[in-house]
This record gives sequence, structure tokens and C-alpha cells, in this order.
Amino acid sequence: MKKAWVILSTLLVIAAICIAMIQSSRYTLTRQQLTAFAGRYEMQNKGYSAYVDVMVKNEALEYINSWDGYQRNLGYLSGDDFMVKGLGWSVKFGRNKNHAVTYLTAFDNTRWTKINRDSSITQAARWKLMIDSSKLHPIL
Amino acid sequence: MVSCINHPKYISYPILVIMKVSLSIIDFIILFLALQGLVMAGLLFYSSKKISSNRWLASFMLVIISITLVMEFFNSDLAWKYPLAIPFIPILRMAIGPLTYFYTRSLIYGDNALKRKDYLHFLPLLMDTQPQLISLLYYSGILSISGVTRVYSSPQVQHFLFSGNVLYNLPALCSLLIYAGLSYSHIRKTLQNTEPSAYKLRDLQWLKTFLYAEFALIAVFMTVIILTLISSWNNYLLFIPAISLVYWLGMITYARQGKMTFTDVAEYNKPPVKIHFTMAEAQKYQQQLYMLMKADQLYLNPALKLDVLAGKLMISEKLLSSLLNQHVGKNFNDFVNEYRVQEAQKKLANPSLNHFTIAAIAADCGFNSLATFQRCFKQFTGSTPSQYQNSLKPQNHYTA
Repeated sequence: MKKAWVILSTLLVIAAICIAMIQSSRYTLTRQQLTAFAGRYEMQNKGYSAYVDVMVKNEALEYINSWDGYQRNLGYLSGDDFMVKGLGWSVKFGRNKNHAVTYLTAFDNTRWTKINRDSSITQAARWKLMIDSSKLHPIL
Repeated sequence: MVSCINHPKYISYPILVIMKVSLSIIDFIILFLALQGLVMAGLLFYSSKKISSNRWLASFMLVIISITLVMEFFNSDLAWKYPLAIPFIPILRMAIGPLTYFYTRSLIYGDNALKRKDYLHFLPLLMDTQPQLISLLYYSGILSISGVTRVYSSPQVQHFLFSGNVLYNLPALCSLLIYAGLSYSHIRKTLQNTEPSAYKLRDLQWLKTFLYAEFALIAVFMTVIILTLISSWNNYLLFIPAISLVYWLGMITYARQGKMTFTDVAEYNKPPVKIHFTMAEAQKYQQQLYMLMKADQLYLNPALKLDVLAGKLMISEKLLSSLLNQHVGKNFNDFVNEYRVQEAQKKLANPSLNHFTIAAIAADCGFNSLATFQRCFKQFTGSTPSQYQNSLKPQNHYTA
């Protein structure tokens, strides 16, 4: 009986891994499609600005917060919806009439407006972002 | 993307940075105590071969340590830096209550193997598997189904899942209160209804102390929840009493068992008798039982069996057996046969029944065989039925 359970659970785990691999490869966007989301997003609140830089890396989206400099991965869900991998927060991108991405809505319903619509982030920009962050948040 | 005001760095003041991990003095104290507790829990697990109940206590300690380490993982920035590790971290706070209960039970009734229904106590652990479930839904592709994505990304669902509120801590608080209360009632019941051995008495006293400490912890927890409600105060400091409790538990238990000799341990591990009745219940059923035997003379029925008598009392055979053994001090056959022998004594002493044979009197008193009657008669009166009858005859003759 115990042996049967071990075999069954092993098979289930293998099946789950296979399904996960197949499914994760199904729900992806091309680099070109992802580039549309890349850029710097800004939120102003009580007189200060916070930034989030979204970029394409290894055929997936990543973002960096201005206040901690941590890099996080975004997993694609469907439409213009993504999810912060691990944390599970949803990230919803919004478009204007011309179908260009102009803002994103975070899980806490805060709206971040895209401020450099045509640029993708380079390493130099990342360093600049860090300097900006330290000015914004001296505690860091 | 999370609001920077909620960020842990704004709550605690980093005084030291090791490998880019911010730790305050409080973090160090907590981690030091957690490490000590981990060693103690390990020692208790190792020594649980001697006293098996200790593995429940060691599990209890390990769960509190794991919760503390998870808190440190989030508080030290590691979780925000490496969020992909989050789904691999189990949150076991809903196990504290059941572990308290099983520890109490194992000390009172002996450490029996868990039954299937006992595992259900650990089902609420699923409430804290949110990161694991979300990852599972994501990697299985279910979250990518447009309808599911729409629901998942809706502000209401996201608010429910990720905005910390009082509801998050309430289930854990309820679980702790219920299981601590349940454990306490077991201790009281045992103290009221049995006369425990010296070891068990010490165990019960210890369990009481253990539960008082847990109740104090629950009081701190409740205060923290109220403070969080009023002023969004961080519940970071709760971990100091919690982890101190773990350290204290480990020290006391290990020292206590260290003093026990080999004989003590053997005596200690003796399986206890299971208690089915409170004293009041036992008295009530005993009265009913005597009434049935005396007034209704059920013993005269040769087909009287345990199930018939249990049916009359409206309790199970197991309970009747336990009532007879533990509270009357006899087994079923002795209990019934004693009444039959008393009846036979009356009949043998009655001169108007002298023309009946002993076998007839035996059958009339509910005995199925003469041999059993004679054996029982000898057992309860010290003489055989004929000896008893003969001892009465000359006296009757003399008097006459």
C-alpha cells in the first residue's frame, strides 16, 4: 500500500513538472512584444516621486524599484497582465488609443505613468537610476 | 512596486550590514535565541527515544523557530531581494495549536500513534500556502487563462491576497486559543477524575505551567493585533517572548529528563489506563447498574451478557466493561455471579426449598452449569453449596 502511494505521488510530481514546463513555454511573448512594455514608470505621492524601470532581459520582463534597487522578474499571464514571480503581485499594463503602453497598475491599485516611452534601459541608465534613488531616499 | 513606506528598512534601524543584509540588535538577539532553541529542539528530538512525548515538544519548538526565521527572512530584506525563494518557504504557524494539543495528550494518555482523523488537525496549515498555490497556478498555466487572469488581477482579489489586515492573524489566534483551552480542559479532567502517579502528577503540573506560558504568549499576540489595528504598529517584538519561550522550554525539559534514572523512565513510559468516565458519571452509572441488578434481578437471566446489560444502561459494551473494571473493581462475570451466589445462599437457607436439588437452585439463580455454580460458590463464600447447606441443617434442627 505504501509502495503504491510512493509510486503514485512520484508520478503526480513528474506529471506536474511536465505540465508546468509545457505550460510555461506556451504563455510567453516575443522580445518585440515585450519591448513595448519596457521603460521608466513614475508615481508621485505626497511630494515625492518613485520610479520603476521595466526592461527586457532573457526574453522576459524584469523591473527595478528606485527605492531599493532590487531586480524582480515579471511572469506573463495573459493580455497585458503580468505577475511578480515569487511575490505573486499582479502588474497590469495600460494602453492609450494608439495602442501604446502608457501606464501600469500595481497590485495595490497604484498607477504608475510611463515617462520614457521609447527607451529601453541600459546599464548606464541603471546606474543613474541608483543615483536618483539615493537622492530621493537618503536613508539608503 | 510595493509602497516604499511599508518597506522593512523604514521600520527597523539597520546598525550592521553583513552581506548586504540589514540586521538590528533585536534581530541579533532573536537569531541568537532561535539558534539556541534549534540546538535544544535537536537534543530533545535525539533524546525522544527515551521519552517519546518530547518529540511533540521539539516539533512545537521547531515550528516557533521556523516562524521566527521566516520573519527574519522578510525583515532582513532577503525576501524582497530574492522573491523567487518565497514559494519554497513553508509557513507553519497554524501547527502551533495542534502541536500543543498533541503534546498534552501524549503526556496524559501516553504517546499513541496518530490516527487518520488526527491528521485533520493539521489541515488549517493549507491556509498559509498562498505563495505555493499561486506559483502552482502560475506554472501550471491556470493563471494564464484569460478569465482567471482577469479575476486574479482584479483590485479586490489583489487587495484580499496581499494587503495585510487583521484577518491574517485571526485564524492563528483562534487556533492557539482553541487548542490551548482544549489542552487545559484535558489536564483539569485528568486531575479531577484520577489519582495519577507521582510522575504523571509532575507532568500535569508541568503542562499547566507550559500552558500558562502559552496563554501569556497569546495575550501578547492579542495585544499586538490590537496595536496593529490602532496604529499599524509592527509586530516584530512579539518574537522575543516567543523565542524566549522556546529556549526556556528546551532548557527545562532537557534538565528534567536528565535527572531521571533508567527505572524512572521505564515507570514513566508505562501505558496509562484510559479514563472513560468522570467521577460523577461513574457514580450515576453505578447506581443505575445496582438498581438493575437488585430491583430487576437481571442476574437471574442465564443469557445475561455484557451487551444486554450495556443495552439496559444505554452505554457501549466497552464503557460498561471500563465502568466495572475501573470503578466497581470486578469483571463482568464476577459481578453477575456474585449476585447469583447471594441468591443461591438465600434459597439454600430457605427450608421450604429443601426438596430442590442444588442443580435446580443453581439453574434457578441464573447459572448455566453446576460446575460453574460450585466454583463460584466456593470463590465467594469459601465453601461448597452442600457444605453450606449442611452447615445450616443441624442449626435448623437444633433450633427446631
